[in-house]
Amino acid sequence: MKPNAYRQKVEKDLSDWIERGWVPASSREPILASLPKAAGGDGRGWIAMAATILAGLAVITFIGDNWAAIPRGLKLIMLLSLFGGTAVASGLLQETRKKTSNALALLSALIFSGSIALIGQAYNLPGEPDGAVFLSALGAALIGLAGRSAASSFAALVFGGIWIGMQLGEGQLTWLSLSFWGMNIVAGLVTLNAWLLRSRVLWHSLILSFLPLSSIHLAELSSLLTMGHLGVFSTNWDFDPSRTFGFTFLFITGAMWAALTAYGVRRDEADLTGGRTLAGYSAWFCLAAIALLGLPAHPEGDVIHRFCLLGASFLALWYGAKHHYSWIAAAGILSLLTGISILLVDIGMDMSAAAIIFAVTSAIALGVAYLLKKQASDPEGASQ
Amino acid sequence: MKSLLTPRFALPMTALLLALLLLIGVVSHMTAINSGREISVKAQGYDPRAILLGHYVRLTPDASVQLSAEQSSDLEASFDLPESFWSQRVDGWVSFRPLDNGLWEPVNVSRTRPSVDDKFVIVKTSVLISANDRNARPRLFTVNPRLNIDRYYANKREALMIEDMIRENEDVRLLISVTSDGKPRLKGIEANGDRMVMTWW
Repeated sequence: MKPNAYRQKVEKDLSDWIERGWVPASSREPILASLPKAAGGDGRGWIAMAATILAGLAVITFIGDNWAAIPRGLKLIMLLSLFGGTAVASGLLQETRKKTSNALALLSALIFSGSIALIGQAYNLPGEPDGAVFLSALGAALIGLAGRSAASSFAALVFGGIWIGMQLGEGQLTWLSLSFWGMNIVAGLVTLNAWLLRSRVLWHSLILSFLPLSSIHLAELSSLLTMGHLGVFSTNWDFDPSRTFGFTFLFITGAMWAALTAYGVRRDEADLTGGRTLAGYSAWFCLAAIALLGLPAHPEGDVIHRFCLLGASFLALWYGAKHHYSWIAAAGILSLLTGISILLVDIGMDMSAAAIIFAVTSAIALGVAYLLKKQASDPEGASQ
Repeated sequence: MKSLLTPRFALPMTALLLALLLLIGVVSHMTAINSGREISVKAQGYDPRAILLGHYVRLTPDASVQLSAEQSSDLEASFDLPESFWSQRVDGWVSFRPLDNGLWEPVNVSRTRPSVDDKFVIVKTSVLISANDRNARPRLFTVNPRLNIDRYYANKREALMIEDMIRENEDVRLLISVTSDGKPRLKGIEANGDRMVMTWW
């Protein structure tokens, strides 16, 4: 719970407890004084970060306007000095001014990325844009870890996402590619930094980044097992993947995310960082994989798939509602709706019948959501 | 040891490492283009504008040449070419020889590095092989070495000037430096005798 919200809750509870006579009124002030101070809330940090970015843009725009007239050797010196200067300043300020240091580390990572492109142009270096993006991701991840900067690590994940997008169908998204393993190292560096910083933003971003990375790994594994070769994401999509490949890929994907959901719940029960977040995302990805399993399933296997999908949806809905995992319950609701929709297509219902079933399901879903919300805001009443 | 991992020390060191990485890339490139043997080929294809990459010349070398019957036969023997095809891309070694006008032209393409005398320059590159007539026997081929070059960065003024020159069919050449390992690197451009060569400064 954030300090502000915690303080407000204690203030409200204290008034209630004093009224009931459980706590003497004289204890109110000492208890409130012992609470962690609320965050400043004057937005200075955000203004500092915005100002830093604007300053960087001002420098970049000015240099850009005079770029053609600057000798390439001077360009090299300027870019490397600017990069080094921001990195050193970020490192020196990290202990005393964390937000400014974070902003400077991000600026440093962006200048490094820009330098790759600008020095490459100035000296006509060989190489493709995807190589520059890869190097940008690696640089940002290293800067993020060395400077304990969440912003720079986040930039590394963004560069990584761009790299993966550029590589679809281009040949590098395979176990046979060194760049792909390099991108896994980038993700590893960001994970280490997220663990050191206990950063929520990085944790969310990492789980989202883990989805495409793990999918590539699992697709390679499935491809090797069922088709005997690698490089599924590196082809130009002109291959005909077998049903066995699709089924194997989605099955192990679903199983992996189910295991991660269970692991997330265990972490949360043990009060470890990020458990609830991991469980929430994993439940969504797991149920999505189970829903997609219907695509490569053999026609005779459709019935089994529908049962599995509905069963998994109800399990998620029940478990999420019972243990107050709202994201797992929400995933269950959506998955249930998906399952019902698929069933409607299966039995070829007319539109009116379908509309009634959708309306009833929707009403049930909204009712469950309302109950969960009520439980969350009044846990005492809910348990009675 | 712990103090070495603090941002105060680790971040400047990381920045130094990354800056050195960039610097090494520049130094090795400049050393390679200054130490390699220079060949020049005609430039073709042009687009001076790119939203993301800035102003640059999108051009390719035009070093295509039709091989003689004997050269075509050598090519067919060296590569495992299909029975019938219009064009095929292969990776191989191309021998270039100088012409009287200062340009260089390919005379031979082989799968392995050939042993030739010093007047030839050997380049390792991908080559587009086109069959003049897919059904004729013996077959005649046209080869077009790509030389791994597809762009030349220039400022706006230079880029537009080169565009005009290529449109007017004037003499625009790519100056290519070939290192001892056969790798081609773009060294500069020669436009109507004016050399624009990459220098340190």
